Amino acid sequence: MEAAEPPMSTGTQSMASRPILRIGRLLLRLVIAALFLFAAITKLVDPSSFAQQIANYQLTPWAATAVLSVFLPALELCVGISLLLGRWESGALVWVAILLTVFSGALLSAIIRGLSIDCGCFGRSIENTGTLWPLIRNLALLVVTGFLWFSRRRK
Amino acid sequence: MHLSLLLSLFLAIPAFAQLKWDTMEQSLKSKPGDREVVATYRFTNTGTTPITIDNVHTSCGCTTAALAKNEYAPGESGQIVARMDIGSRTGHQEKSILVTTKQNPKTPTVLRLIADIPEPLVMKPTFVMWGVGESPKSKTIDIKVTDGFPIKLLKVDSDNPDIKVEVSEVQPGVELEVHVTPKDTSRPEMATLLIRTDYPSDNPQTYYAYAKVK
Amino acid sequence: MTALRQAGLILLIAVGLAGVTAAVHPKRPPFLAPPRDPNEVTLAQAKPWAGNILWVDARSESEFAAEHIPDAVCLNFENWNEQFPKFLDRYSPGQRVVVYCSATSCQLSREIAAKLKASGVDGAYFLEGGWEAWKQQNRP
Repeated sequence: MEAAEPPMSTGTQSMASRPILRIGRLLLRLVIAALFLFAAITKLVDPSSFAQQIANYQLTPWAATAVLSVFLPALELCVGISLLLGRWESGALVWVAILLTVFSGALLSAIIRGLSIDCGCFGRSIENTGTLWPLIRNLALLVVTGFLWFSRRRK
Repeated sequence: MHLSLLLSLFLAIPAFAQLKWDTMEQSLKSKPGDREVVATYRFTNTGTTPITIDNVHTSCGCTTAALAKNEYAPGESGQIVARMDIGSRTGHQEKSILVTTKQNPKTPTVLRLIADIPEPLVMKPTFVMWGVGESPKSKTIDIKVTDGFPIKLLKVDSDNPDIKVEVSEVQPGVELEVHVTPKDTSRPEMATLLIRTDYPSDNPQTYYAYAKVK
Repeated sequence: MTALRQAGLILLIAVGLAGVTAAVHPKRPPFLAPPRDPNEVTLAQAKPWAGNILWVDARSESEFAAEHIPDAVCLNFENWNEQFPKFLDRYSPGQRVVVYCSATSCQLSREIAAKLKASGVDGAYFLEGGWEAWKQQNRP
């Protein structure tokens, strides 16, 4: 299915040929794979409760929320497997970037809008679980994704 | 440049909080007669700069969180004492305490207080009513001890002689049927029914049911 | 294969997987409408009950004293034993009891409604949106 990869030593970025960077690159790819697989599995166990979490962001109508609650974890799973195996890595990275951007946007919107805590009881709101740290983490992952993308082996 | 290694390291760093908490979640069980549940959360400033805790906010008016002082020098320890007023709550309760520091205002710490408040007995219903003029037929309140709970139902009294109670024991001390009968329903009446128990032995609790003609 | 093509293929597989999940997963979400608690009512749903409705305020006594739905009775976990008899003074069987607290995020109304139901009040509901929703609808 794929064209043969060019040998490492000819012409492609000098980055790819340095062993320490290849190991680092592999590690990062596996870390992102693990993160996405973990995220996918925890959501696939109970899509109904994930749907409730999406609904808490108050960004989507219910039909879209329900669809996303099964589609997002499925996508995360495919991306995770792809990165784990090292197949279709470029395609997977495209989705990683899109997903991270979308999630970060949702988190940012939640932080900006805040949630009413008039009576002081905030139930299972987003503020309970912390919004800023996941945002920072996502942005860091975007940086890593960028690195993986620009350092990938080209045909 | 060993960019990739640097980035790997960056991912591994946990949240930047300088306060290290002994525990951020506590589960407690209460006894009947307890008025509050208390949990202590100890922390230490493991950073190299002083930390100022400027806000401690609880998720419920029933929970207060006390802090001795606001400034903590590097290496200094402190604690937050959370008290949850039980009131008439029963069952599983989860309350949160949000701790914000001046240095990291956007990353508050969320402490959790999980309490299990037992319900030693169940009354069904807790009140009986007749309309004025309604036939003064007896109505029944069923009282049952929760399975395995070491509590005995001793006695049921009415504080109003015009509304009488008669107890039949389905299972002595464990399940009672309280038959409530008003003398007549010609005018509004009100009675508080006192259900006396033997638990806990140092502070035996009395439970309340109500009868009303209105 | 270009990155875009690969991404497209991943998308196709994900859609397939999502479809299978949606069809067979025992914990799939309801797709037509969000799951609603049968005891939750909106202001619109409570409107036809006017005349036979008893509002219950589950907030603290100080919040109640500041402002509340007219003719509401205060009933919370802190003062239940003192307040419940006063609730019984106002309540008649057959009335609809609607409990509210400050806003959507507040769980107190749900809990107090549940306690009322367990106590023998058959028509006990809680208001979606709480005091905030009522205030919005009743102030020009």
